[in-house]
Amino acid sequence: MSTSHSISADNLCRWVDSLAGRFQVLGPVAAKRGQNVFAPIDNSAPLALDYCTTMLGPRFFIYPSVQRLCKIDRETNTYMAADPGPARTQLIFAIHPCDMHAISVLDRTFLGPNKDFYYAKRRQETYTVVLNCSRACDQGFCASMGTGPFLRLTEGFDVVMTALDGEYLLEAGSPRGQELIETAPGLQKTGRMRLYEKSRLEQQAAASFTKSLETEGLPELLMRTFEHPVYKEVADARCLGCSNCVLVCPTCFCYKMVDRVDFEAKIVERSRHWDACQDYWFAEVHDGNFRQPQQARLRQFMTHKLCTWVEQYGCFGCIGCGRCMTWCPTGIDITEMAKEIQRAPTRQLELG
Amino acid sequence: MSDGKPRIGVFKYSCCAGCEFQLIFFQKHVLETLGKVEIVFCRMLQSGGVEEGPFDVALIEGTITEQWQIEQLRKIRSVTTYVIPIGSCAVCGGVPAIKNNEQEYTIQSRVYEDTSRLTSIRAHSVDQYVPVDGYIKGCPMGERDLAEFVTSLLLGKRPEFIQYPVCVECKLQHNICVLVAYHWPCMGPVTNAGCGALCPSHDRECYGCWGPMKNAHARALANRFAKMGLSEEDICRRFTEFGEPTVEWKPGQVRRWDVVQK
Ligand code: SF4
Ligand code: SF4
Ligand code: SF4
Ligand code: SF4
Ligand code: SF4
Repeated sequence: MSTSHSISADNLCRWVDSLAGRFQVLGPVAAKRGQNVFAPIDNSAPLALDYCTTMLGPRFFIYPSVQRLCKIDRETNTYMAADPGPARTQLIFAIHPCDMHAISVLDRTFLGPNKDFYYAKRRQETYTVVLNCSRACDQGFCASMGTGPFLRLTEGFDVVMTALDGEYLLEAGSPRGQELIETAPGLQKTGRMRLYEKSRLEQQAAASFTKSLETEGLPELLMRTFEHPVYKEVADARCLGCSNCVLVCPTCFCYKMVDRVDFEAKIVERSRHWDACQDYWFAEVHDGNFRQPQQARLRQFMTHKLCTWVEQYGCFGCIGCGRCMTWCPTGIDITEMAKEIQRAPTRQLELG
Repeated sequence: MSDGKPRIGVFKYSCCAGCEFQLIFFQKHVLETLGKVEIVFCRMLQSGGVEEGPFDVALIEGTITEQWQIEQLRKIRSVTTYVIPIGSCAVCGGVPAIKNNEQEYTIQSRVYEDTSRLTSIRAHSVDQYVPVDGYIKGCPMGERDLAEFVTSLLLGKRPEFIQYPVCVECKLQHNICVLVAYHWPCMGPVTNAGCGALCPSHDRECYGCWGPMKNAHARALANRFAKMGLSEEDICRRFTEFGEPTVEWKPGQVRRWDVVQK
């Protein structure tokens, strides 16, 4: 990382104002009844920089929940790409480290050997400015997953900011991020001392977590315990199969293709929607369903995040944001389930 | 399909006729389509018609609440290729089936002075009496599934009806979840999608008008409602307003459950 700079809070606002002239800035703002959401902003005024978390991570600016892919005219046999990418270059401002990690996890899926054209385009046309977290959020356990509270990535983002005594430390993660920083007003070079303070703050923030998960040996353990009764117990008692957990998870990549035909059956429009393995129909194939009981679907979600993802992509599929447990209507918590398996890996289902 | 045009019959049983209105309203999109099908029988659209079929498609609206309806339904089934219940009444009992929640006579005498000439039976969905080939859900039936059905018919493909819960559509719309965030008793997790999460998108909870989602876990949601402080009566009402006779929502009809246990 190149030299770091600091900027006053006022100048940070001016900087955002000027960025809004160049980019479609997307930042955390206050929504109804105390919620925060990521939304387009024209200037720094609506920014809620002290936000804790949002129901949906800002992944949807890069990987939209519903994305039109193409139109096919059946009569003339022509094909038209339907998502031209964002109208203006986007800039996600104040994205938290866990969510930045989540996007880098998604990159492994969509920018890997089977590169996804639509994702790649939006990813390229989106700048990311990370804001390190100075305190833990209620349900977060990013410190356990190695994805927070401060950013651990060395590439794949543009700028990272850290709030330090009323100022913001700015560090670049890419050449285009460096160029962004240089446009900031009232920029001051910072010395070693500031970086030392930053690491002290990081330790402080990391120590403020109440939620944790022991990840050492976890994938191997989960692989051995597919028949553990915890899946059935939790699914039978509480799991609605409603898929909220999957849909708020910032690393889930599954989608379903949806075709719509006009009434003259001439134009077919294909789009993709986020899909969810907790849905009953997700595993419905010709003549059957290979994950019929809810426990199998709950296990698929949890073990993909904490076990099979590692083999698939070389990292966990969970970045510890705590969203799935927060937005589950019945509060099902994959860390609690994992802990139960760690506590009693060989426990059997009690009958009767 | 003799001359290539699918022959369609539309039948109405006990309901508000909203679905048939929806069908007629739907014509605004589909004048071209209506030219491609032949409406053989539809009381609301045209008088006369051939009630006896045969039909390529029979759209059935309304709850089955009388003996003659069952008999007619069986006849329709025997002369029809695809029998499709439309709307919650036909699909899952809908509003008319609320009455199942009390003694038949109690309900009748609340409405009619003289009950001696009433011949109604317990309210049930169409698939309780005849096998069906798909459902167009909704109250009234949803445009998306109707469009999917009509275009599939014309293309000769199998229709892909929506089979996931309202929560999925709700999240695709980025709505803040009213159940989790505000503790409103939302039926979304156990209700079939298709409406585009209409109610949560307008800042209120889903009351389940699309009827049960396949494999819904009603008991888990009822327990959640109970923890939120809803009375057993209130919980029971939420699970009987639509889909009273369905196996999916039975476990949520808490009050009745208790009566059985006591
Ligand atoms: S599994 Fe849960 S905690 Fe982990 S990244 Fe997904 S939503 Fe966040
Ligand atoms: S957890 Fe489920 S929905 Fe998410 S990526 Fe894995 S299989 Fe797909
Ligand atoms: S874990 Fe929770 S959010 Fe996920 S499907 Fe089950 S009940 Fe729904
Ligand atoms: S508001 Fe209702 S429909 Fe929407 S996600 Fe929450 S429970 Fe599901
Ligand atoms: S949100 Fe629920 S109650 Fe509202 S229209 Fe949809 S299914 Fe019906």
